[in-house]
Amino acid sequence: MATWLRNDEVRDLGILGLGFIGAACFVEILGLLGIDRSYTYHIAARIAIMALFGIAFNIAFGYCGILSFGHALLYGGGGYIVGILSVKMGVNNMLVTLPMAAIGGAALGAMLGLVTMRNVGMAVVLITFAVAHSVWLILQINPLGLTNGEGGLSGIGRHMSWSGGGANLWTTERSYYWLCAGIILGTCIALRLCVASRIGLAMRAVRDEPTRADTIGLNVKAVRALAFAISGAAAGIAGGLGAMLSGVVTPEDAHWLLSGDVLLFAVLGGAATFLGPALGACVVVLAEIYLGEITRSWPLLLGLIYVVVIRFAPGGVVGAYEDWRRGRKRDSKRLDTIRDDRVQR
Amino acid sequence: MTWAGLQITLLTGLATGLFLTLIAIGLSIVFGLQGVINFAHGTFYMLGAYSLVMLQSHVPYVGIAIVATIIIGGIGILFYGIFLINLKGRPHLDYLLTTFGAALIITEIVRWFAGSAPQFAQAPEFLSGVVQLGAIVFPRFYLVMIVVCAILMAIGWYVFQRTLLGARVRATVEDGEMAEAVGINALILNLSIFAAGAAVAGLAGVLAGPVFTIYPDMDLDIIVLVFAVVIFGGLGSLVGTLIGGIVIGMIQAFGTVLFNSTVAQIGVFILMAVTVIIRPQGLLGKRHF
Repeated sequence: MATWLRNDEVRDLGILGLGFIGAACFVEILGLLGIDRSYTYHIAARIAIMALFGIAFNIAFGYCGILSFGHALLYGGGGYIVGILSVKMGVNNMLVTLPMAAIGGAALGAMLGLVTMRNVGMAVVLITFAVAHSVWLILQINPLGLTNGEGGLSGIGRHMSWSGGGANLWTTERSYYWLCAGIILGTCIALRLCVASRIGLAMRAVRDEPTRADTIGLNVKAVRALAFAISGAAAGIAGGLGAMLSGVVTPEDAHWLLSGDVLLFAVLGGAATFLGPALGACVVVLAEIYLGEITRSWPLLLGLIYVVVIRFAPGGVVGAYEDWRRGRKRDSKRLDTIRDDRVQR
Repeated sequence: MTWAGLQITLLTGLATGLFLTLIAIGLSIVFGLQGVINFAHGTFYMLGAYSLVMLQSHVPYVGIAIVATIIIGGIGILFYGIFLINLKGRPHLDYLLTTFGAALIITEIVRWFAGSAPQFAQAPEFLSGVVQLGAIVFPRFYLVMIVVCAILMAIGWYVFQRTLLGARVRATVEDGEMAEAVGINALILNLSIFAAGAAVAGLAGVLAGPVFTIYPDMDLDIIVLVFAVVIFGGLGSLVGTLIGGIVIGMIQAFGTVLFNSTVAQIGVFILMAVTVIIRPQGLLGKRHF
């Protein structure tokens, strides 16, 4: 390991940090104009959480070439772990619940990785979908009385103290936004280092040339399972933060429509870059909240986004921008599940 | 479970299975032909059901069935021209995402016209009521469904195996480039098969109208089951789709009787996952991925 932070890593993480600060400034300016700050901070936190979910998904999708259609299981799993610990067991300390969500997400991700071990491409899509949908159905019938069925768990607190007493700093939306920003930035630093390390190199090797990677001695199945687990850990954290943000976790947090959303984040933003899915998440969540209010037919717009992006910008927004900057045509060589073959360091 | 109960459940399973097969056949053949995973296939089914809701007070049932089949076939051609024709040669994922987006768009348009509230359709007089079959009573409409599905399946089999069109389809499924090289017009073939699949799914919607609740998201709810059918039976295989439909119909029927409908669906999706893990091409399919 020569230098542990290269330029583009500093750039990505810097953009992310500046994004958090910029969003907060924007919210404060809106606040000065008389728009309720706690609502806008709530939305900002939701966007940040979805951005983390998108980045987490893209670790498996963009970097390792695994197209999972069951990532809502990992997000919802993190949320349910926090919810069950908080509501059913009285463990409200997020210093305990969030790491548990990360571990649970990693375990679920590793499970998906093991289940799909023998398959590639569309078969993985179908298996992950079927497994995640089965779990979603199981959540509906509420086994063991832990998940409260369709209504889900409500009243999830945001505490961070061992004694349980004392002032709770994180109940306001503004403080929780900054907490989320910190945790998400920390997670993203870890993920960015991970994809820049030899593990990340192995993932990209498995993505681009599975046969050759196998020949030079990489354990392809293990690398895929590892990518799933890393992705799952970050998705679990996102799910846990999301559950604490809204205070409730329902089966809809694990529904396959969310798996479709996160795939859209990555495809819209650009799966060949680290931050692309975060941009995609910003665009989709903002459009959902504000355009959805104006037109009242959000699914129509969502459908149009899908159709138009796939038709005209299969490399996503970031991919289209880079193509434009390099003056390159879109028809570069592509793999079956990957938008672009641009290897990124 | 009593003997009579077993008979009723078997017949229900057969009806459900044949009905699922009817929707699934278009999806399966279109995939075999051109690798299109059509998420919007359930939408044609939904359009069929809604055409029943819209027209049932003006037109007799059989008339609706004929009109809806033709119109939805036409919508299938339009759909292909708008969404799919430009994606030739793209990976499976692009088809999946585009058709998913298209399904959302069409569902929303239907919601504009028909509202979000669940609606119900009446079975026509001569098809409602029950039939005495030996020791059991069985809804007449389910029997009609079984008969209609079986007839359509027989026609499909005949077209597929005994006509020139069927021979072209089979050739293209086997080796698309070679088929084009010997002069089969791929575009016209794809378009006509896509339209036929859409029309049959629309007819299935008209058949399902009197049995199930009709609501705008019914296409997404049915498409996941239909996917399970084609994945289990094997994409691109006619007989495989039939077997898949009947197996999954039976799981649905028995799971619902013995436990409840959620458990039945869990059984379906676990079967789907296990199938893809062990045999990615499905029971009788060709290896695509």
